[in-house]
Amino acid sequence: MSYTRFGEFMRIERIKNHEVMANTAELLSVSVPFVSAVENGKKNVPDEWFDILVKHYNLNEGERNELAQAIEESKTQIKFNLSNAKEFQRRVAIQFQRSFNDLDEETANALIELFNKKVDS
Amino acid sequence: MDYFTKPISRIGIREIADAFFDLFDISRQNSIPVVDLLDPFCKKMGNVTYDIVEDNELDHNVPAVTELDNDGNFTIKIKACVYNGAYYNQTGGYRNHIMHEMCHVFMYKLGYTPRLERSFSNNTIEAMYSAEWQAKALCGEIMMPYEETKNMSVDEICKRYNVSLLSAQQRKRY
Repeated sequence: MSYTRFGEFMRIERIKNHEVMANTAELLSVSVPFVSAVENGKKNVPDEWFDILVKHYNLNEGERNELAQAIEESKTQIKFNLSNAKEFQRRVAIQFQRSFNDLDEETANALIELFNKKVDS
Repeated sequence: MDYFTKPISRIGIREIADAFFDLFDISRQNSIPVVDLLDPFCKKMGNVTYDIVEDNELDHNVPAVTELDNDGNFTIKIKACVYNGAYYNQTGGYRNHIMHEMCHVFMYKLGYTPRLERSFSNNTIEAMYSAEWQAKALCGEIMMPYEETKNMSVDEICKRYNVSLLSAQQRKRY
């Protein structure tokens, strides 16, 4: 297992602020194993943590962006809301879900490139 | 379980303890802040993380354990009761369990890696070749620095360095 980017962010903030994981757990009103599970990528970062951490560490804009990015990259689950999706969107979401575990890096990069082209155009 | 590794003497372990103090800029005069050391230790060592797990995730007689995955990443797993006891109560035995695991990683990083594929039962490998003895000895040398404790009583060592009675008694044997 390796630390998530969120875990790495927290580790650095704790060192800078002379804190330990128990202090993080107290701040966020959760148990130490819960914080640990989140930092180690076994659980998603709860949404409400962002504002608490920004306030506690008095993060500037750059640091806030870094935290948001770290949270995004540390997600263990992503939910798609398909209730208003068109049929072709539903098909692609379901196909992606089915194929996800077998996805290799080359295919993933090709897909990202394709999606980025679509956004740029 | 224990592993056969390259040998080192007690004096050699003491020198490694000195390097550890210097590397993490820790005072030898006071109790080592074991829990506070976890984040800086993992950061400095690289590819090392720790995981505070629910008590039932490890066997009842396992307070903490270090796992090494196929990519060479270490995870120090620590039971929540051990972590909390070490941090909130400064319990010597619990502090020792955590430091012991960090010592396993530190020795490994210094090249004291398993030399044989198979593992051995505890106390069957000659001390200087034993990964378990090396971690235990280094843990003792870090938690109770030799020069500072050599003229102290067991009671003084317990109070000054927040270690268990057993650990302090063990220190007086060396």
